[in-house]
Amino acid sequence: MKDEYDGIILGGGHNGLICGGYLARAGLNILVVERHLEIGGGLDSHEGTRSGFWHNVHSNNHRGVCDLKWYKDLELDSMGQEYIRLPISVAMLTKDHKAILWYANEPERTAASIGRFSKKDEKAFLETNKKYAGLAEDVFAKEQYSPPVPFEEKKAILEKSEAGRQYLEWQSLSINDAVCKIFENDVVRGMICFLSVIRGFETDSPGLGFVVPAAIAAGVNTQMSKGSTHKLGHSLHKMITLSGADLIDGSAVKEILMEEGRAAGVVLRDGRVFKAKKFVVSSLNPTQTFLDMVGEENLESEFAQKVKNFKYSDTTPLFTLLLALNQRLYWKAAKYDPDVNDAWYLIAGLDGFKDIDNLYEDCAARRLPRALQLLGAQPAQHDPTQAPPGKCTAFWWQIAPGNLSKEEGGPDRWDEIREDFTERCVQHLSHYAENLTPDNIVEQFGQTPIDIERHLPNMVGGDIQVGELSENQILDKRPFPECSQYRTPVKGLYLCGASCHPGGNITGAPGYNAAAVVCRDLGMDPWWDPPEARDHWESLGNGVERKK
Amino acid sequence: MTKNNKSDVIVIGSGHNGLIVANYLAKAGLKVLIMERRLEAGGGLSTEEITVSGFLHNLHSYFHDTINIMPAYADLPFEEFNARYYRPPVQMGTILPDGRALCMYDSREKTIESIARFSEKDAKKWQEVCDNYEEFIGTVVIPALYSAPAPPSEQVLVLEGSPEGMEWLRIMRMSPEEVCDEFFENDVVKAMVLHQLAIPRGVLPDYTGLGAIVPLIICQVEHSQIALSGSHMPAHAMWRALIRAGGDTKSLAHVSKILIKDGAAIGVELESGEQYFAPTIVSGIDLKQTFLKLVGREHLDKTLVEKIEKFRLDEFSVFGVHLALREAPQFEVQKGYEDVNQAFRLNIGFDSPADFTDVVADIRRGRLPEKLALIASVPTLFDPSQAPEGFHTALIWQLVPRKIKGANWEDVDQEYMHLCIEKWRAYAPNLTEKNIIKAVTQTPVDIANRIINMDEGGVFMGRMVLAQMEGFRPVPECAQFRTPIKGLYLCGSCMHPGGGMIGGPGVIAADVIGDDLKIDKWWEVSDY
Repeated sequence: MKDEYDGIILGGGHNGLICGGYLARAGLNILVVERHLEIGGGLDSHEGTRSGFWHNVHSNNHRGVCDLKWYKDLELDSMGQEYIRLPISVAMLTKDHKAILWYANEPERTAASIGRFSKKDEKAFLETNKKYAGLAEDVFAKEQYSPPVPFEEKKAILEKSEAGRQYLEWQSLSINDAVCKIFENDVVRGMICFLSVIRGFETDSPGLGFVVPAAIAAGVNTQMSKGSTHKLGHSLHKMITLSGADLIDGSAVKEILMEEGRAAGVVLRDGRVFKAKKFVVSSLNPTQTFLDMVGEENLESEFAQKVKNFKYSDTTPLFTLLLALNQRLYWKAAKYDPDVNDAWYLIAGLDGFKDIDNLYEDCAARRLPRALQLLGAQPAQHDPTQAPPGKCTAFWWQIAPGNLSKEEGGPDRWDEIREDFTERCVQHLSHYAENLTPDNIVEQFGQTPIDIERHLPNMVGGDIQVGELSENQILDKRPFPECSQYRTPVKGLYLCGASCHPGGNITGAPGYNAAAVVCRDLGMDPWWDPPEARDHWESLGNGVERKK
Repeated sequence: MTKNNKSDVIVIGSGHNGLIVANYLAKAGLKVLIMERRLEAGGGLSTEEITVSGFLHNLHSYFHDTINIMPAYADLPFEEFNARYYRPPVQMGTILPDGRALCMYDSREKTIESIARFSEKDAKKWQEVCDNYEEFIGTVVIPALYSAPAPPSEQVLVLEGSPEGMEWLRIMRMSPEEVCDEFFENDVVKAMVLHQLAIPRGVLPDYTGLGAIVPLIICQVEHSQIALSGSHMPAHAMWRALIRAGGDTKSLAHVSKILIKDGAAIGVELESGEQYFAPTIVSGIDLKQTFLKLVGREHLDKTLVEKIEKFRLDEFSVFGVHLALREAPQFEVQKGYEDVNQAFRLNIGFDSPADFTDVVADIRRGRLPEKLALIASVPTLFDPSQAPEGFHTALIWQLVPRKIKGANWEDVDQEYMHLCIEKWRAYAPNLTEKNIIKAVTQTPVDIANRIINMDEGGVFMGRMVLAQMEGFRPVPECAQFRTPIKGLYLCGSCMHPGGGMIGGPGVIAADVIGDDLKIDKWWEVSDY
């Protein structure tokens, strides 16, 4: 370990590690500082009190990770990382034990499953899937892995191509409106919409409508990390160690050292000081980065106010039910469609749009959800290494605000109701499962939204997206226009966390995008090849429409 | 990085000894691969969030007493890779029912002052023992922990030459209990010493022939320290050091067989069926698994098999209670005894040698000890990073039998946990139900399930009795770290000097293997 580095990365979540890995491999001296003993942030798995059961307490489905550029550039395959691809992504179970299934890359089968609820929607799904391939791959996907292009400029470019015009047209809508525009059946609408809810999008916010055709056209490449979610944390740990970067784990940053208005290093809570010659990159949230660590005295008051106004979501925090099971769960809906038993995600408790409206109402009022809409899976069903032989694990997420209102008992109430809410989830689930009986449960425990914040303080109130994904906090406005290119008003300070475009989940995009920006600001040519959405979109405009 | 399935050395198990031997050999230029059954490296260096997310609990080793004397810690870049230790000024505290307390400090003067409040005579004796033995322990006893065991006759030869040596031999032949009785008059003082036998040393007070442990404890040549950020952190550091040195670990890799050809070990086979090859195999796991399961009886001499089968497991196990707390437990103490609330190692309920006699008697009868004599600690007093800001963790250890006659651990653990918590609460009223966010037990069964070489929850991987120590650990045929199987070595806690975070077996194995492979040793070999 040295006293001085070229650059220091705050936070050893996957975005910080990816950003650090690229920059270290660019020949820079890098230090990554992680508050927690285990790096990986949301790549977090615990062995339960009953040994041999691995519980992935945060991220689980790593969509399409193996096909991402950073995964290949940083050679995670050769770090011992393995992924399991899951052919059936989602099964939505209705109260009367019917089901809609979403197949990873078989739109026809998905459409057929939808068709059992509505022939019209079956047709609509297939049409949308075909019609918007360009929107999904050339516009939406490219936008994720490139710094966001300022809206006016983006508009001008996109208007020149068919896919671009489609994108702009849908952008004006909210996800709710987009779903209703495509589908007629309430169950189908509920499912499609809920998948956006669970991805953290505020579905009632305008400006996000393009998410729906993009999701339907792109398919969902569901993958899970073999040996538990945290195994990817280990692979990134090995990657960062081999890259030559130094790592401090188990120590939190107290402040960002400021010298002549420039971010010049960090002071840790344990008193250690490390200098940064060239830059500091923070993967923490704006509140922590600017108010706690840079300090308001070093900020323009107008900017400080924007930071204070940054909004954390009450519709992404999760209560998680974790189960260790003697035997995997089977579903009553399998009589309706046997594929249900092979699905990855299952949704239990959602029968239509109204349920989402109610959930949003409860979240807005910061009270406990009156009804449950659980989404979960049984990881060990698909990866037996995560449980003792023949046994199984399961997790179930319920969206619920962490910062309960005063009337509701406040955040601390979660500690009091932990066991009761856990049991409530189990009871709810037993309506859908054939075999969720007391003797099948080896162990059950609950992780509250407040536990999430205690473990990962950047997730305020348990907001796993680290900032609301709504019209005013996405794309070139995330987290604020002046930080949307991963640069900040503080000289030498960059952002690379989920509070930046494109947001949370295991995408690696904020870290990947930030690495290229930092690299170029240092006058270096990235050793990898970071795509520019701008250029790709221009090429579309020049008539190079994708052939389908 | 291991790109294919051939290495120079394969180490079975990434416990601290496995990581140490791997680091020494990798730094010497050998291609080393560790096979680890679990996801996390470190074996007993295990810190996990078993109560609530964000609350770290050290499930196995916790009081790291030998870091300041461990050659590996000086030789290997532990701190370069972010391992950090802290030695709490109040090393240990015994709280008494009347609110008085006896403390052991990092300063001898203060310790003696504290003892003097209980017995002037014992305070003098304490100083006298230090004067007599401190240098001898530092120059002779400690180096012996980190060298391959010498033949019994040689040990005696070294000692019988001088009066001090003869006195040492005499004390050695006694039990720790007898030595305490000879040294001290006050029961609380005796109890404070005896409390440090079982954890972290694996020894019970009546183990004859181990009396010399008493002066070892009194002289404090070893320093009780806490691994900052959790006991698992040194494992991270050694793991990173190994990766940087060109070594590698394969996690979730359960070795099911040591491959043997013409009487020599040539590789290992995993449960998955994959095979990995190396001319040198080092087993960091327990004796019985290594030979009876991985090597197989067919490759072993009958008499050796018998000896291995007779190898005795620990006599006791540890019942653990892990607490996630809103505030740190505060003892109610008489004025002038406040220091006990800052003590690293807490003794709750063990006031005299007689208390231990009762506990050990129940253990030997296979009963849950009626008397609660807790070993406890509040890690977050010394390292706030082990809990979310403003919160605390606590651990309780109670010595118990490996198995309870006529009962299953899962049927009794909750009730016994509550008894342990109530015991602490009797001295620290703020340890209320409201204060406890969550409490979780670790029974001997849980220990054995998590770390399978801690057979039946025996955390020292072989009873620490004279007949199983030094040149007799684990069996004379293997005590020099080589085995009858060519190319197969041992480096686990079943070897001299035994279990716990001592780092002895790892460094000695590196020395022995270094000799056999004629590598250029970059480190200085400990020699007494």
